[in-house]
Amino acid sequence: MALDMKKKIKIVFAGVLFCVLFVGCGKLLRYMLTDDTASYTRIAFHEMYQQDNIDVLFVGSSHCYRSFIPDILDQQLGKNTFNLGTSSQYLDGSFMAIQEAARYHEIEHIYLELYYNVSFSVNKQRTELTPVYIISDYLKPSVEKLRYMLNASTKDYYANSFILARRNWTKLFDADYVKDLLIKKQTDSYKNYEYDYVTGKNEWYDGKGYVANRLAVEDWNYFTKLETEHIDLSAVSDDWRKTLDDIISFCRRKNISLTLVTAPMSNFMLSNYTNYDEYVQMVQDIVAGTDVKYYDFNLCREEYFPNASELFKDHDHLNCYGAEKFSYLFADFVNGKITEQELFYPSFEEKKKEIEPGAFGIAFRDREDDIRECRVVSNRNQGMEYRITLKPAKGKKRLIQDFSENRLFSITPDDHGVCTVQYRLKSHPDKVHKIKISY
Amino acid sequence: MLFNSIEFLVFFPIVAGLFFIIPKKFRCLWLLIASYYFYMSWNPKYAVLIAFSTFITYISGILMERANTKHGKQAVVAASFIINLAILGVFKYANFALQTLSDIGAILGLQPIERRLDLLLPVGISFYTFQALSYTIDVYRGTVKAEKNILQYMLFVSFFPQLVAGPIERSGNLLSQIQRVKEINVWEFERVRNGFLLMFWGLFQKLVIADRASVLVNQVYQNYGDYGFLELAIASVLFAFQIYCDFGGYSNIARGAARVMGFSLMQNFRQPYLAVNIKEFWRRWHISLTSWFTDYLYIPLGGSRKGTVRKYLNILIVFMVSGLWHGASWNFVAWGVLHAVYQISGDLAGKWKKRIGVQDSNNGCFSRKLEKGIVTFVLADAAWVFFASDSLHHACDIFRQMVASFQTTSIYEIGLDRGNWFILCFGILLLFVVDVIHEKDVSVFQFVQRQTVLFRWTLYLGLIWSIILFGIYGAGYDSSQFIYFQF
Repeated sequence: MALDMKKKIKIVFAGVLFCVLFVGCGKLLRYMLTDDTASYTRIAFHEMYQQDNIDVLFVGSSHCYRSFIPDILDQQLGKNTFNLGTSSQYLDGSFMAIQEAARYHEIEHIYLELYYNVSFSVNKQRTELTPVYIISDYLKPSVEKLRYMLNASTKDYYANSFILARRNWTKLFDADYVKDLLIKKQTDSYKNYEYDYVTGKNEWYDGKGYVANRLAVEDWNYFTKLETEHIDLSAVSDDWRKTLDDIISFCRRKNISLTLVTAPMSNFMLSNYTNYDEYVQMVQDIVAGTDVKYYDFNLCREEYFPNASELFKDHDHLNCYGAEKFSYLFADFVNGKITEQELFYPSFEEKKKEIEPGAFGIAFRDREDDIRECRVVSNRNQGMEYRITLKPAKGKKRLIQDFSENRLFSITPDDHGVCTVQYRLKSHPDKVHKIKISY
Repeated sequence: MLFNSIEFLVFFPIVAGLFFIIPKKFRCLWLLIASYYFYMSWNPKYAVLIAFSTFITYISGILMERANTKHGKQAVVAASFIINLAILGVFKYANFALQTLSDIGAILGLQPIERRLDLLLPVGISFYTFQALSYTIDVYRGTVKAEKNILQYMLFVSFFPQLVAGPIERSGNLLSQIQRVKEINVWEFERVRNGFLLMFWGLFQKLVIADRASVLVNQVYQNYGDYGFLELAIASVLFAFQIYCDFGGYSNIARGAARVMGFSLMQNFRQPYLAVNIKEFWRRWHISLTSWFTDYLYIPLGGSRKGTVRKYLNILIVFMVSGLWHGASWNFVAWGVLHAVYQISGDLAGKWKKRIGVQDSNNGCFSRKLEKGIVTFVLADAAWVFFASDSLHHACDIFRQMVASFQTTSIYEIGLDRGNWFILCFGILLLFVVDVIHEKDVSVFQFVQRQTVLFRWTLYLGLIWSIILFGIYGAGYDSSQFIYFQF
């Protein structure tokens, strides 16, 4: 009988030891195959866990971590602030970041940055999970984390979600990759979460979640794929709406003040859309009747935050100069130095009417019949005329149209060259402006 | 619920864990519930069919035992056969029959039959129908007694590890184990460990080899017009390994899962590609089906007892039926006929050699075995082309394309990149090594058991992590069903 018990104990012990070794192998493979040395979020989450107490938290997509500078906000607000924004952070990712930060800190106020593009994400239809993994990979184990990972995708992705080494298995045969990675991971810089590997020539991790970039847009001359000029609000997902409700409820339950914000984007992006105000209104309607406020800083008056190309790193994000200016402005607004009425236009349409007329570039979409539909993006829906000339890389310059209100034209995806758009207000035909766009 | 799904990963530990924890008197009921749940996870309606088939064969067994005359017994066994085969016929062969009649009608200038039955083929119907029928015949022959305990009999027909793709068990083996279910010991560590090891080996065969090979095979076979002899030949060779690892892998998972819970299922594959002739190949391939056809069709037809011509006719019938069993399509019939032709030709050649007094002085040496093995593999592989094709026409087109085009493409441009080729070749090599060890009558379990702890545990962890890392499953891959589920 004693021997029997001894055997049973031995079996149980062997089972436990095997499980430990199994997990250990997984960790070793992850260490060998997963290159997270250049990950901002790895360091950001580590710093979040290490902070004494975070009073004010910012969460959201890349607009968040490129716009709110905690060092400035700490000084201006007199609070310890932290930025847990991550690239393309879906709303469930924001909720996860909020829950995780709230587990370790007594947060007073959360600013949830809303980027309209993530509101269409349907959890079970996701095929690109990197925005999920850059959060989940650096979270400590918890029930919330498990729930987040299970709900973030269909079960087809679970293996990749839970077994990190599987995402990079092909690298197992790349000896140089494994060797280089192991060398990097053995450095003190990596082990101590220092910034060496997240500091580039023009972009660098600047602490407490903020990522700075010193590049500036030279001029508004974008040629960018934007599929539509209409934000389809009917496509806003139920997952997004439910998660927003969950975040509001969570903050109420935890006695945390919540404010929804949208960081400034370029006029090129927003002028492309004919109905951006409807999106703003939709969010306003959602929070109506709650104590949650929504402020869209794209509606800022020009005197407070101009749509100057030197403040943006690209058509979508602020650079470090823009982020600095914006962070001071944001702090002033939070501190009550500027009122809502002073700071914001009632709508983006009104803002467009009042600011200097301008064209910012060309948005295009590729049709299935090999036609590239192009449209000039300007801040006037009517009353502006465009003269469009194309100078192909090989061939003669040709006039697409003389001054007219039409701003659409077509090329093929193989066409390359320089497009010159001259524009003028119908009411001031003598005052002609010009932008040159490489296509 | 596939064996290579997350659902099964949750289902099996729960079922096996509770099987050992609950009072022994509930074990049979618990496995029965689990088996029906497993089957109903495909389609709850299927449960009605399997329950009906179970009920008919259960009653048949009891009635046969009570029947006083041979005629009475024959009537019961005939009724059981007619009902079960009618169900199988309607669900599996009705549309094939209508299509064939329509095609014959078209040749004769008659109106085509447009109507088709809108039926979904129940998963594993061919397997459990044959298993239930074998019980009926065994009771009729008096080799087993009729099972009175309905729960035990229901579990015999629906036992989830082998329910949808075999092995097709005999009542003498599985039913007798179910009757002793209370005696199974939880703490037989070696049995449980070997069961899991067999399951993992099966998963490796399926996920790492079969499904990886299928990427290339599907790419080439579905676009055969774009490829030449070399690519089609590579795809055909890989299909041989795909189907072996797919079906053999399934059988190993089934046997492993059963072994974990204390049941021993029959071996379904015995190194088939090490066979040195087609007759031997069939003693190694899908053994449970081959023995079923031998016991319940070939021998009752007369076997080899009624002369040479009748023997060859019987072989032809058995292989045609076997082809039809695999699928209601003429390409499967052609596959069966081809194997019959192989066997008959082999038999005739043997007789002819004997008659003219040809003696092989090298018979039994390694090189002769190798030559014979290669020829057997090539013959079996040529037949697999019919099996892998969508139709007889498709198979013929593939053969035509093989001889018509000799253009070549880089092997890295036919579905698999360098890393995947490496893993596939490594997997096939490992498979070969394991098969050779088995061929030497050495159990891999015993071989592993004799090694040091470090070796054993490295092997276990290596096997599991290979499946996790290199397995074809989840995002980016089409989760492949087991090929034999369609039969």
